[in-house]
Amino acid sequence: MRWLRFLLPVASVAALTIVAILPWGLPTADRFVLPLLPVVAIYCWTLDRDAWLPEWSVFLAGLLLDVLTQGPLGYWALVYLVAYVVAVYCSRFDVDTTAQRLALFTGAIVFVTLFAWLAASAYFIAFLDAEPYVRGAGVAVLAAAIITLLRRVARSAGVPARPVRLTRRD
Amino acid sequence: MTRLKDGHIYFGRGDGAAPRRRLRPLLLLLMFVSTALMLLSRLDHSMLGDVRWQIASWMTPVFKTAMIPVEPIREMGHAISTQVSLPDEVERLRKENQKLSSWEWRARQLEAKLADIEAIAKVVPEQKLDFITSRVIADSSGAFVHNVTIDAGSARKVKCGYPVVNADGLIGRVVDIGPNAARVLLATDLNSRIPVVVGPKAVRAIMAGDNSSRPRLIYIPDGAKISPGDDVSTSGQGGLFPVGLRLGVVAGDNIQKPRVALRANLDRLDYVSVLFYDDPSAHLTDDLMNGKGASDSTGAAPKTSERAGP
Repeated sequence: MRWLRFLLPVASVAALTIVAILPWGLPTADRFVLPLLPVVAIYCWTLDRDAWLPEWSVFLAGLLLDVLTQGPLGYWALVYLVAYVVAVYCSRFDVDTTAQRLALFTGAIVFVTLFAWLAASAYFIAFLDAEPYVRGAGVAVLAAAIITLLRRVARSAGVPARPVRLTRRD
Repeated sequence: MTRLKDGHIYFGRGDGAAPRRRLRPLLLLLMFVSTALMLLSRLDHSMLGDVRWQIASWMTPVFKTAMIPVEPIREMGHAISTQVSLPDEVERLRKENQKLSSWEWRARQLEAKLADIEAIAKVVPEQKLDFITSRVIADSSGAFVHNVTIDAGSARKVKCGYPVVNADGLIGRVVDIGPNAARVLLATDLNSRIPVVVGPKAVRAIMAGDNSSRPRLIYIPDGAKISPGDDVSTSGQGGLFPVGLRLGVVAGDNIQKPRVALRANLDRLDYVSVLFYDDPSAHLTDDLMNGKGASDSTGAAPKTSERAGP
């Protein structure tokens, strides 16, 4: 079903964006992890060659979060687009082991979080407290580790592989 | 990679042949738009504020629906954290109960004495404030703003500027209003400024939020003595908030830059009450303005204002 290739990624990113705004009762310093969850989803779906997550949907998800959080418009849209760019570059690395995949995932989250902190600091023209960002990145890396391990388990549990396509080469 | 040689034609597996993702020019355009929007937000363009609140108001039904599965998860998390801190909490409550028992007796005595004095002085009774209680449906606390959205709006007669409290005291005020939702600016927000009185000597100051969990006290008069543990409550100055709403206590070791430890836990807001408080002096100003306007238009002499007091 081709439409699922588009619908699943877009719906999951949109759902996580809504989740990021709900009152979970988390301390303010720990709330930064919630907007990073769509970053994890953007990374996963961009690396999945069977899925199609268009950049405009990433932009709209970020813009929606900006509108709902009453923060500066364009901030999360920019951060999510950077996450998309990072994921596209990560997809070009040839990684075979789970450890390598996890290391790449962690690097991507750290880079996006660093960018988010720098962009927020530039907005206020002052270096913001980095602690909430570090905590958020820590939890996002944990989420990334769980997702990577679950995908490995799913693969080894006998999920049918994609059919082999033979393509003509010169 | 598996390669099959068939005469002069080579075949490769589909995995390797899948096209790499490329960055399209649209991405650059979207990044440019995002940066431009950020700059406009920085310049505080008024149009953006109106549009975003409109969109947030439209999203209210989505939040209400999303809250249905969230509520049990929140309750579960709350129950777990309560269980973890239960022994300490019981001990704290036991001590507090002992202290409050003696205070209750003292408060009753003072209440009776105050009632006698008020009767002798014919004090005008305090106006009772009407209120409604509403549920928090969205929390926007982050690096930029500290505010929450509640599911009561103009349809419930909520207006901009109304103070919002919970059982622990003042938490903020309504700053945006839709038909069925309102945005509450929390006391910790960067833009929050609340006139307060501090301590037994009622030192006047302004409690200013800075997006941290403990707002600062600024504009303290020179020579005023403030100590850690002093109570902080609204002063009523400016007519934005009624007098005497509890906020918290003075905290921190650095008394040169005092901060306020709020009584209300702004991270865990479930239900809040909106006080229907209109600035009484605003009506007075309107009346005076109308009176002046009428007298000017008719050419009559302006009314002399009545002198207060006996």
